[in-house]
Amino acid sequence: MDAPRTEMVRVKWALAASVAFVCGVIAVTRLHLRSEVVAPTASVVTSAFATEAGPSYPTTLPIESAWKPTALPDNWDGRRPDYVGYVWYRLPAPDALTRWARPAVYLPAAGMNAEVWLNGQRVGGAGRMQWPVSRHFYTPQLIEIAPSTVRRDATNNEFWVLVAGHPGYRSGLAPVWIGEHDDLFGAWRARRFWQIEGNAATIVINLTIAIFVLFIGWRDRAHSAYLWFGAATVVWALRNLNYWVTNPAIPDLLFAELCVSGSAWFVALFSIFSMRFAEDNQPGYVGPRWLEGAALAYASLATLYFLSATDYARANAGFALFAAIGVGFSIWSMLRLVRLAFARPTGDMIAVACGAVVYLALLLNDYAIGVETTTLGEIFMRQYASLPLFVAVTATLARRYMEAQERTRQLASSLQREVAAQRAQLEQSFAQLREAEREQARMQERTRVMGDLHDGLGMHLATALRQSRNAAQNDPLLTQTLLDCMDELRIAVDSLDEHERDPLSLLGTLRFRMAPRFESLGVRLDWHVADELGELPTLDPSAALNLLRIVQEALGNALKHSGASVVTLALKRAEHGVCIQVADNGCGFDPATVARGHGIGQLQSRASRIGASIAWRRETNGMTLEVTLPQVPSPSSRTTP
Amino acid sequence: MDQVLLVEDDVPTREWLVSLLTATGEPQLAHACGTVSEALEWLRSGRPADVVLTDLGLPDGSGLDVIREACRTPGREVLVLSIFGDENNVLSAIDAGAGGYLLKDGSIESIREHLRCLRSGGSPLSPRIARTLIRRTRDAQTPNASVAHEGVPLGTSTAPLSGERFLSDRERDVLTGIGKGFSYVEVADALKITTNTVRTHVRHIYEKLSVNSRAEALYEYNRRMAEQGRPPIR
Repeated sequence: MDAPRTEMVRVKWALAASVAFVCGVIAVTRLHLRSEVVAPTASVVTSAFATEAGPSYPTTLPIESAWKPTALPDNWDGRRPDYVGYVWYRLPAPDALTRWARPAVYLPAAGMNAEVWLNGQRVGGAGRMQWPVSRHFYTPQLIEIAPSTVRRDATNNEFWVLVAGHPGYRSGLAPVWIGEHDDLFGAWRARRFWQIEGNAATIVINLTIAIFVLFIGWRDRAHSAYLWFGAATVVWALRNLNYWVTNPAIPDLLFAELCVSGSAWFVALFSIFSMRFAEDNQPGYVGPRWLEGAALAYASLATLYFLSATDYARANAGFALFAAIGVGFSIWSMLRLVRLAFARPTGDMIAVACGAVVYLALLLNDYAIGVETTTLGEIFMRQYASLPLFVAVTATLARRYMEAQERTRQLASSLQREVAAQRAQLEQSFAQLREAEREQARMQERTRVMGDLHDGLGMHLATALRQSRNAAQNDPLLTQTLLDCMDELRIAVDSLDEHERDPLSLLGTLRFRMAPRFESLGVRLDWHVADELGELPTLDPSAALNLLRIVQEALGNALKHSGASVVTLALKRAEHGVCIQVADNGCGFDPATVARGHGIGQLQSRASRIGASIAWRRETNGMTLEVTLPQVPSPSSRTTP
Repeated sequence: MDQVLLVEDDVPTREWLVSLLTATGEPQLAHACGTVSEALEWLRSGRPADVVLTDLGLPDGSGLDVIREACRTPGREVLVLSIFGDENNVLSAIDAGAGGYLLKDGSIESIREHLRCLRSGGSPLSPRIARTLIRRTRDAQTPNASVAHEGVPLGTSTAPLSGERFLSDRERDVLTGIGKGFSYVEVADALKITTNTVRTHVRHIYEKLSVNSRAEALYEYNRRMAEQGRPPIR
């Protein structure tokens, strides 16, 4: 996977900055050792006399002749390897001791434990000095001297320090500071923070990270590489108890060996994580298959070895080898993470690589300190070194998790949109379906009504008409009435028609219906349709029936009352709609006086219902009725006739 | 001489038509009945029925079934008996294969005239029916037009009036004139042709519709037969 040049440069800069940073940190911790107390009156003791007091807590003070000159720091691994027991140190007291208001002794490092004597009296110490000695090898001690124990004759004051220790724990005594309590306090407090409180804080942080990572890794198998990381973090946090716990609940030796084994397990688990993590994030990368087995075998062997050790000396003998292998695994893992950043130079991968570089540098620093047998009192940095690395790795998981969540959210929202669209479509379909069902119901109803009219009323009318015609004394009036009924029924049926509700269709059909009646009475019914009618208004069934009734009535009037020989029905274009004319050449009448007889009121009321205007005009021969229908029928046309 | 099968459930009407046919003698009444089953039995047994007159609303079913069965024999004249000559009845009958309609309330003269001219003039064509026919032929000629034609009652098969030249221009002119409510005479005047030519056009229009409906009915029948694994008729 080729990354652009600028990103490569970015990775290199980030790594270089990390190296510079870590070098600075190492320099500061190393230089700090000689100059942690800045007060000019305080003095540091680097040359003393020492004598070995044997394996059990001394009940008597050492004899004069046994003292040997000894330089501090006195690292037992270098000076007295495999020694287990107690050593007395004799330190000359500075002259100023008698002048100090609150004289104090500051032991930056004394392992495993130490107590301070002044002029043959014990003046202070921490924890237990008898076997099993409490594990205060990483506890700086500041011991205030009661002024009453100081001899005012300056020459005779003598500090003795009793140290208890065993191999493998950098036992011994670092240079001792003697001075005013307040002058020493700052140095003691700083060292105590970095070695005790800060260390405890890293344990808490590591455990928190481990719980978070393990929970997600356990719940979401897509992130299973992180399970190895979570396990490594747990082991790491427990292993760092080594620097914090001074009085373990289990035997000291077992606790110590568990801590050492924990280091091996951490190294093994983290190297497996590094490989899996690289495989997940670097396309095409496949880690060495043997690595997992080798790492787990290493950790298991280390555990077996250290737990089977019967004493500190035996355990210490194998430490260097296992530690070297562990450093090898660590170097591989960290370089693997650095190469991953080059292959995939995203921000989080670069952060992991930087964390790995810092961790590796501080690990090597600690390793160097661990195998150094001439110094004492250095501060171990690995527990802090792990923090940037672990936080960076956790951040990648958090980022993945957030991305997955974002995807889920987007998916959910797009799903919601889709569902909404589907619902809208479904509702539309339902609406269409309902409309179709209503339409079908209407049509079925119409068909049923038509069937009823046809086979019921229509049939009886037809029969009555036939009987009337065939009757012995043919009654023309009855036949006429029956024919009227038939026409009425046909007009009603026509008005129910779904598609034919414009004036041309309605009137054309009406003319077709009425023509035989006119013919039979010897009257001509002319029918004129203008060539250009424009768009015709569409009427609803009741308006259609009203219009048909108006024209039918007008035609009937002309036929019955006017005595005309020609009646003309015409459809013309009007200004805002259409005009229907019924004209006859009969006797005519005065619309103002003959109101009731011709059903004029009825006609006017029907016309107003469909928003039409109606007018009679008396011509030179005959009458003309004009019904003007607007283009858009008035809403009042919806009322029933 | 044409033999008539009459299917009408209303007894007075049936008796009146029977007496009418008997008195006329031309065409000759072969059988009169009032149910679908009886009519179908008559038709299926191969007994004479050159002309079939049927009502639609029958006690044991729809007259449309009688029309469909009757139309399977070529050359048979099938008319539906209608009181109003309304398009609901007439068009569904035409769709089923009928060639026209006979108004039940017509005077004796008009019915006699109609029956006499059965093979020459065709049934009268109302403006509504004319307009519906125009609409349907237009729909059929419009590409992608829906097959579901307007104005056709539910439950009747719709005849796809396919082909651009289904109706000739003249036939279309005649239909348009009738659709506006003009009489045969007026249409003839307007088109400068004789009234008889108008009648002939109308008759052709009915024939085309009827033939089309029959082809469609046959197609539909054969499709059903094929579904049941039975041999089709030709």
